[in-house]
Amino acid sequence: MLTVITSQDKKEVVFESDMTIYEAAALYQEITEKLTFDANFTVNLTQVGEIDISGIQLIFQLYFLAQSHDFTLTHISHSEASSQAFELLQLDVKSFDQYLDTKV
Amino acid sequence: MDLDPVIQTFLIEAKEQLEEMEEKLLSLEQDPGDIEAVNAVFRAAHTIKGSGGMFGFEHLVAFTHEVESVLMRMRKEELAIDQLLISVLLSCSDHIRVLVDCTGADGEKISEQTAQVSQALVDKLSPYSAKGGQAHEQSGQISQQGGSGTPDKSEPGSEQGQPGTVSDNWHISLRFNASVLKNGMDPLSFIRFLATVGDIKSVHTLADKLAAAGEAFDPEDCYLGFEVQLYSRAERKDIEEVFEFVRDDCTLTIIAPHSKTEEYIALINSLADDDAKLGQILLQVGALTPKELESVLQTQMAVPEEEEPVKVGELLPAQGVDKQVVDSALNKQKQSRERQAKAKASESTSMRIDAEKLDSLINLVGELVIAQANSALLAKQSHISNLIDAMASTSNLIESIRDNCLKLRMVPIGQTFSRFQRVVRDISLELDKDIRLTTSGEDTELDKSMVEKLVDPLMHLVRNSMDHGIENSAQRVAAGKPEYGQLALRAYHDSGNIVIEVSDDGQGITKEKVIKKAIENGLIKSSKGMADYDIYRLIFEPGFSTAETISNISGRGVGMDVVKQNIEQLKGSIEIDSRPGLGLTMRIRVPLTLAIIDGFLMEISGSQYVLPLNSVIECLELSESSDIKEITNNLINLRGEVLPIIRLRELFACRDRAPQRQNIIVVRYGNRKGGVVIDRSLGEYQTVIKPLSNIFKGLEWLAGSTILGSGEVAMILDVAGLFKNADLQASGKNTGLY
Amino acid sequence: MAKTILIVDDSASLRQIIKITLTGAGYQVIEGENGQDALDKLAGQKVNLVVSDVNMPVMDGITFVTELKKLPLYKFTPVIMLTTESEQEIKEAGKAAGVRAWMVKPFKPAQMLTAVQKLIM
Repeated sequence: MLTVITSQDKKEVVFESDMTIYEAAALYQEITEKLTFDANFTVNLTQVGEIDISGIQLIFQLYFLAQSHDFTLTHISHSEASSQAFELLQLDVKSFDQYLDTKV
Repeated sequence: MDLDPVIQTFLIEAKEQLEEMEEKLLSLEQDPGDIEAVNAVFRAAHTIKGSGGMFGFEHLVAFTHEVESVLMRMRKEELAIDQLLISVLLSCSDHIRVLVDCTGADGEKISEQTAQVSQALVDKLSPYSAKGGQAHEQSGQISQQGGSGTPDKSEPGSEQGQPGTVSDNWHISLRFNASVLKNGMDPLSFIRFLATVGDIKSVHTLADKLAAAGEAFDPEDCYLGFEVQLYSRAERKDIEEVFEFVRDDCTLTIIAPHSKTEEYIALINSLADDDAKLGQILLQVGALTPKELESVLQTQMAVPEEEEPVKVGELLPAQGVDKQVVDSALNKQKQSRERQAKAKASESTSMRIDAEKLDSLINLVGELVIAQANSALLAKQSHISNLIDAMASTSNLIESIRDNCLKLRMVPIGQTFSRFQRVVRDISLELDKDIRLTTSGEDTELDKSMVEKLVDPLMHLVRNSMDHGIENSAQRVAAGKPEYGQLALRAYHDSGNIVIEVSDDGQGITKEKVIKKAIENGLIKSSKGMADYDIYRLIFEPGFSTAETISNISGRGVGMDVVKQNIEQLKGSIEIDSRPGLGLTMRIRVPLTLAIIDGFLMEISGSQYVLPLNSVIECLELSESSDIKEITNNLINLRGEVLPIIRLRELFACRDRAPQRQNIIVVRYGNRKGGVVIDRSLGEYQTVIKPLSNIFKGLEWLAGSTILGSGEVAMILDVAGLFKNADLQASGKNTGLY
Repeated sequence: MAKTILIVDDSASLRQIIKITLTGAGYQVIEGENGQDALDKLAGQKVNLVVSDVNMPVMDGITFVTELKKLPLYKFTPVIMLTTESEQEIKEAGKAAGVRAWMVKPFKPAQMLTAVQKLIM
């Protein structure tokens, strides 16, 4: 379950369910249906109870899709679960650019 | 952790498994082709080994493991199943029981002797178990899929002469297969667990594959890889074990701290992903110097890629497993599923219940019965018909609850009978007599608490029949009997009792032999003046048994006197039915239940007494009934039948005058009938039996007491006890029952 | 929210001791005494992990996992299979059914806890 909130100056993608392998396919379906990459956006994970690697991947994918449209993911607000996961993997949205395909 | 209740469960379970094991081994002896029986025996051993292992009962586990190995071979039809093998396995099953008995909350207590027996049995098993070649994994190990996965890198510590990298950390490289998530594995969980093995200094995520996926992104696939720097004092295998379950779904490389540069270079070369990225990471973590990295990349470009880098841990389809093998395994599963479906149809669902809880429930129901009787009485006195009707309904319901509760405690005697198959088999072999056991009435139910107490007496009777009753084959043939001896265990219900018979077709007991033995053992000087009944009952006297009858089973010095005592403790009786030359039947009678019975309430001299309703045949008026003719004070003729009677007023020494009209209750006990003379009968009454204290032990005619609804106490009479001392010669017919 | 584990084994004492171990570590535990019983007990509840024996009456472990994985709710649930046998054919059948983790009986309760933590820490 996710909702996209668009207002004058910001766009927010709010994830309202767990983000595990069981939800991955449905969530991605929703992303492709509900989200247009026409602006920078933030991601709200405060309602996410459980998250696994597939969930992390979805967030990466959001970032990549944004980038491919010349926009970006500027901020992530975390729940306890997502915050722990990000910490463990030492991930920070601010340094997501390292994952971009920059060939030397 | 409070292990006590769990250990209790373990013990009960182990006992059940062992019973199953024995039963199936015996049936396997008769039908060696029964594959289901083999499986059942295997499962039983497997369960005991598994749960025993959980508690750390190592000796039990080790011994059961040996048995299991042999059973496994039997399952695979690699062993011929013959009597010798079954005998060995039966001995092993007995020994497992001994080992289980040695277990407890503080572990195993195995004596030197027991350990020796274990070894002796293992030696007996060795011709049947395969040594070498056959892999039956030892206990305690956690299995690993596939190979070790990592090329064998050197352990931490520097090599001679070669400078190692400055890295103090383990370097762990993880590349997951796309399907890892769908297989239920979560890399995040493994990394979390890794953090318990050491200090995670850094994690670098590789998202190249994800970035490259674009439109083709499948949210259920895994595209991420990780490079982890871990500071840990653990050994390589401890770190490997973190990933034990996911080895097949990933490429794992572990490089020890202070490893040579070559190791890292090898890592870069071995992985199929972008060298530059990985190189950057290794640079960052200090595994390589910039110069080294540069040289690696240059070398890489120079040498064409010859081979597909081997993804270690990837499942190779041809890893020695035929499709055929998998198919046959699945086929077997299908067949066993079908068999199980059939078996399920006849399986009943059951629950284990704590015996104490059941007892307390029954006590409560008992109190309920009394309370309800009181209410019914008050209702009657109120003369409010609606209320009386309502009480009647309530009373019916309570009766049903009572009956259902009592039924909960009932177990079929078949459980006990089946134990005897083994006993008879073993004793047959021991005595070298061919004796066959038949059983009937296995479904007959009795109170659980009585079952255990009946085993010893039955065992003794069976032993006697086999030892002394049934002749050897030469004698039998001479007597015109079949060569094999026949032993029967029968059970059935009869007027509120359960009757269990132990019958044989042997020589029976003759009066003369009894007299001879009794005189020999100093019990009597001569048999003059003794009634037949009393002569036969001599076998129940202590001291009647001689050394002859003391054997393995009855070796505790148990004689027929103890058998009788045990039966009487259960408020039962034992009867001798002997046909000299033809056979002997010992008939045990015990009441169905000791808790609540239907009673017949009566009054004598203002006090109330209860007779078990099951024993009441009819109630007549003594003086006016034309059916009754008094013969003597203690005998009557009832419609042609001569019955002994007991005048309770006399028995109880009542001083007041008897009423004009007295009643007589015709009762049955065993195969006999009698009459009990009372003042008034008060009809049916449900009674909760309260046992009497030891003061009353000597009074055989008293079965217990009960509290009436009015609060008064009524004594419950034991009919057989009442007539015990009655003159039986009056019966006129000698049925040969003693 | 506590993670839930389903234990399927026909030995009540084994189930009991694992339950004590796992609940002591903060997990919720559901029990089944064979495959069919486990399927009945699940009744659509979410479980994070399944531990199952192979040799059980009524419905064995391999059949159980096969049936379990047909249900969408348990498609991706990790399974640890308990076994005595190290024969390839059982493991292959298990793999085909979706099992990726194995433990050989007998094992100590602590070993089970460690295995569980590796998978659903």
